[in-house]
Amino acid sequence: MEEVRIQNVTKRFGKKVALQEISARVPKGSFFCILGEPGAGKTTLLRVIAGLEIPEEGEVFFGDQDVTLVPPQRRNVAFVFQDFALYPHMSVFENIASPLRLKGLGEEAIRKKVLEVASFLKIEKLLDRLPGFVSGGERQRVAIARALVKEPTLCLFDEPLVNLDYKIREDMRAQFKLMQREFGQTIIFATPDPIDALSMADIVLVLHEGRVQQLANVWEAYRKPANVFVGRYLGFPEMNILEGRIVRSGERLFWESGGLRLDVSSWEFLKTYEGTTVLLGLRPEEIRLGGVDGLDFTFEAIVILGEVVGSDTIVHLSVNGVTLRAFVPQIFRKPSGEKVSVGFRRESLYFFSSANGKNLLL
Amino acid sequence: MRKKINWGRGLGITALVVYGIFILFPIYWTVNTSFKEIGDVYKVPPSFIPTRFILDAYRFIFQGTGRVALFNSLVVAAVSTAIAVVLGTMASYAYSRYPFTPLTNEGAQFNLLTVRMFPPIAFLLPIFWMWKRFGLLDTYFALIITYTAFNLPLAVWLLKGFMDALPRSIEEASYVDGYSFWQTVRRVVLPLIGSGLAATVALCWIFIWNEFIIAYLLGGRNVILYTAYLPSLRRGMRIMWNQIAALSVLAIIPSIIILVLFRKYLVKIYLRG
Repeated sequence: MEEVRIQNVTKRFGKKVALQEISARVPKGSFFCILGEPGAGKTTLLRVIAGLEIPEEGEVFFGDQDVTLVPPQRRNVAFVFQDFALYPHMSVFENIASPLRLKGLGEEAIRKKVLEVASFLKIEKLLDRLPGFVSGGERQRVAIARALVKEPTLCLFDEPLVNLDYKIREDMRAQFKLMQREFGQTIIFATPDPIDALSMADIVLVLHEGRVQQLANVWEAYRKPANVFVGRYLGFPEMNILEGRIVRSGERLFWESGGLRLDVSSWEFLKTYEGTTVLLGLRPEEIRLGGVDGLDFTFEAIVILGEVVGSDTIVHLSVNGVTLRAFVPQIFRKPSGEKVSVGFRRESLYFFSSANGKNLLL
Repeated sequence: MRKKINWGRGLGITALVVYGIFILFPIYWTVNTSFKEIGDVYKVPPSFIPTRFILDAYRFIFQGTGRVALFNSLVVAAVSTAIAVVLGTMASYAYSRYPFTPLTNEGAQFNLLTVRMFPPIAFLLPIFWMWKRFGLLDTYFALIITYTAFNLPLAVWLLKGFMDALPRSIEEASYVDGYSFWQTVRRVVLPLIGSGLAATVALCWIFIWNEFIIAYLLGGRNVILYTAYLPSLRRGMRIMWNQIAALSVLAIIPSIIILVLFRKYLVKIYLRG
């Protein structure tokens, strides 16, 4: 199977623009993640790739072949729907066998293939049941089995983890990764959850209101977000974004917001922004609490609140009246009001234009 | 421990029994009457329990026009129901899936339903003259088309609910699996609206089977339906109650078969409201 190319795809529903000039390349065998909020156009993009929607403008290529107008029946793609879309009146076995029934295989061959996929996904015990009588996580695996058994050129997943509860979701992330390695599938995966993208994807396409915000290797997008939106969205907890002014004081250049003042002289380009407002980005996971010797920036802060998430803590801090969120990978127990020293490295800082949100470091 | 008497339950059962008698007695009385001689029918006091089974009334119905009328009713009801359900399935699919074309938008859907909002009699005179003009009065064709016209809105309206409840993604999954539109309709859509189809068949059938005015006005000589034939069962001033009862008993049979077969689907549709 060759790569998938999307070229200047625009899709409108009436007056509403769902996708605006989307271009992307999905290399063969890659795990490609479409990340965006609900309504960003993720599902529409998947549907265009599957052939369930025809774009008003632009083309979709599978290898060298223009498939923009090819119906879904002849694209050899598999689609795992958000609601799984299993056939409720057919047994799990028949659901999985469905794509094989058209391939002219014998009953024996079909049985063998279905069993193979079912045992990989550990649902071989459910084959005689109707989809209504299996759990949500199992239903999802049935939908995945139906996709895999087809041996498609491309697997499309529409937010398959959203309908599952927290524990199964954790489990499935690893499963997806393993599955892709095992089958060497090209996977396009739409999700609103940045953790899905960070934990599974090779390449991420960040969508916002039908426009591409960034298309890059997932870690590159994490380290070098193209704009404030990507900075905020691709990461958990959300990046701290603070609005401040660039001011000169003698020879030095400072970024200043309320009671927080950072010496930013070492960023040469900020000179041109003197006297204007610039957004400062700082990831919560890059703020160190205590033991801050040797870090480029250090402050005294007051703990406002410790929000325990699983075995991690999101600590809300106040630095001279400016609030910051810090992420500590352990249970953090300090009473509110207590003083703590915080610090971060120079490389942890991002600067974004306050006019258009672009990353000024790129 | 003394067993507590459940008064609410007792009351409920009593109410059901009373209601059951109320519903079933006329049917019993019809059956009872159908086995009497006409002389016995008018006897006072009437006999509640049949002592002899006299089949004269049934014999009369079977040998005369009654048999023809029942056959006509069966043909008209079956054909018209079939047409209404087939067209209704296709129309309701279009209404549900493509509600923005001029033929299927809300206005068009409402227009179709208005047919059902008037009593049939409101349209009957023009319809009568129309068929007369075409020279088609008193034919299967006229009866079947007229009944279909009244049943189609009902079929569409019932089936659209089932179509709406059928997630689009299931059809799309079938397309992605490689099945064509018609294959998808056969494999997925029809089986999943099966209970809706059964209920629609039953309701369309019952409407035609119980209908009198249309049968009386548009049929009558060449094509007489049993509902139009019933009132003619008299000798001079004497109403032949036993023959009427016998024809009624025979006429109940198809409805009972349909109700028993499709019972669980009908309950479903009434519960949907």
